[in-house]
Amino acid sequence: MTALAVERSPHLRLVLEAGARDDRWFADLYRDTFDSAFRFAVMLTHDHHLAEEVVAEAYARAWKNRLRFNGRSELAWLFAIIRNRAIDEFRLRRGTVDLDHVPEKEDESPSLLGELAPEHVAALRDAITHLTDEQQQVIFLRFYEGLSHDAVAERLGKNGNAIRAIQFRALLRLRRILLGVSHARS
Amino acid sequence: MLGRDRTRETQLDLCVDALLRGDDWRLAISPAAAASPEMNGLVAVARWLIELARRTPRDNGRVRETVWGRVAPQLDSHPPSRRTSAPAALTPAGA
Repeated sequence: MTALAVERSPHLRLVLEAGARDDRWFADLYRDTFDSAFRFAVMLTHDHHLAEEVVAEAYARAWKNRLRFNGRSELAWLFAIIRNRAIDEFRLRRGTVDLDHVPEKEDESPSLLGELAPEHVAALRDAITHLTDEQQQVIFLRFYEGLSHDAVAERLGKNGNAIRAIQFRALLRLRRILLGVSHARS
Repeated sequence: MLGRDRTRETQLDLCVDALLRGDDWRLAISPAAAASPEMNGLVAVARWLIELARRTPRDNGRVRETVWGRVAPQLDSHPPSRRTSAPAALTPAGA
């Protein structure tokens, strides 16, 4: 089999990549992603014990479904599994999860958000759970991991402009949710 | 419209870069952009996120080891082959 044949056949490339996903590949994935994966789970669950549970089940699921991985970004794939697992946990604990009915407000007072007070922490954590899959990934890598938009783009298999756009929409949505919460309380 | 959106996205990104470095975000963009209510509002959220992230501790290695202990038995080559021995998987990336 030549390199040219592989290059010309995306299907063949996927088959070869899938075949390479052995236990060594998994150990490398675990080594390279665990710290981020666990902290991402903490960001979503706000609970270290639950995050440990979520991330353990996510890696088990990643191993089981490794042949379905499309080969673009291992980290984005793993994050998506973690998010789904976290949502499952929330469903179990809360009964249902409705991501669409979040109170949002148009920006009326830009100075409404001052310093991060203890009572704001829960609101911000909760608001993050209402972001989309890709918004959560970008927010995590940018703010929790402190990566540049180019580094985030590389990790997620996207381009830099896309990352900046996702970041903008994520912050806008967070602000609207937080203002909605604030208005609802006042 | 697309150009205007791209400009605002880039400006916000520059502000976030400055915040992450601990610099004054207002110096990262034009005075006019720094004075816009929208940018002030988004930067306020960005500052909260950075503070929240700072308060979120990292795993000290205990969880990495515990989780690997649960996952490794599920691998095909259990007990994990020498290649996937715990030391390899438990060494943090970049260590």
